[in-house]
Amino acid sequence: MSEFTYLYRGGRDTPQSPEQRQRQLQKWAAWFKELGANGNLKELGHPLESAGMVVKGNQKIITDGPYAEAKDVVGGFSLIEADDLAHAVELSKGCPILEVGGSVEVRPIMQINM
Amino acid sequence: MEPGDHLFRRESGRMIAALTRIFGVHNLALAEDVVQDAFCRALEVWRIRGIPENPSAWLMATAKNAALDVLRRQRITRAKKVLARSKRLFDTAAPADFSARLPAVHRALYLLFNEGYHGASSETAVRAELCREGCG
Repeated sequence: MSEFTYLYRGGRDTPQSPEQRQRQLQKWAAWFKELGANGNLKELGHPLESAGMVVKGNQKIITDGPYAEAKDVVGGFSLIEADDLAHAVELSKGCPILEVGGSVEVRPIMQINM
Repeated sequence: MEPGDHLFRRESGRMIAALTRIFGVHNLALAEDVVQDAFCRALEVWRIRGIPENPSAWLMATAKNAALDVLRRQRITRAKKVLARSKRLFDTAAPADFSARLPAVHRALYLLFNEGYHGASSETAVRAELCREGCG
């Protein structure tokens, strides 16, 4: 098993009725439950505020940010365990964010063999 | 949350009513806005972290804090406008005016030190160390 992060982007600005929100939440809960039951969920991870500060370069220039397009801002992350990248990608297809215009970026965590 | 438990639908009316009681009917639009914002935030946080033990309290606290934030910003904006309009405020009083102005100065000091009227920080109502300093 290898470890991966899922980076969730977008899917946060679609106008939603109370029922749609409710269904979204239930789908996320069901998806995480299934990942957990199959031993693929290492950590739920965390949601992220959309705006913070960016510190850059030797001069340590501080700007408000990231202020990218809403769809490009990482809204949260989780830690996943899967056989390989293809498996992790396959598991990500169940993520409910895909149904509301969002995306999941699947990134392998670098393995350090000591 | 059980499937079929319509939390958001149920809470929406209840929260708007409660917020309107707290902030007044003239802030109805504000109440509706902060309830919507709280729902958006709930979805973002709960989808990953799961639904908290008391979702109703979570939603209400989030909406109320947002409303307080908006109202505080409005108050500061209003105060700045009033200050900008009245050009007399920051001139130095002539010695003859001192006694006439003293009650207003006392009032400002009282509000600042004892009632915690302090734009940026509203963590504690009474600022004990400042009271001691002010009275000492």
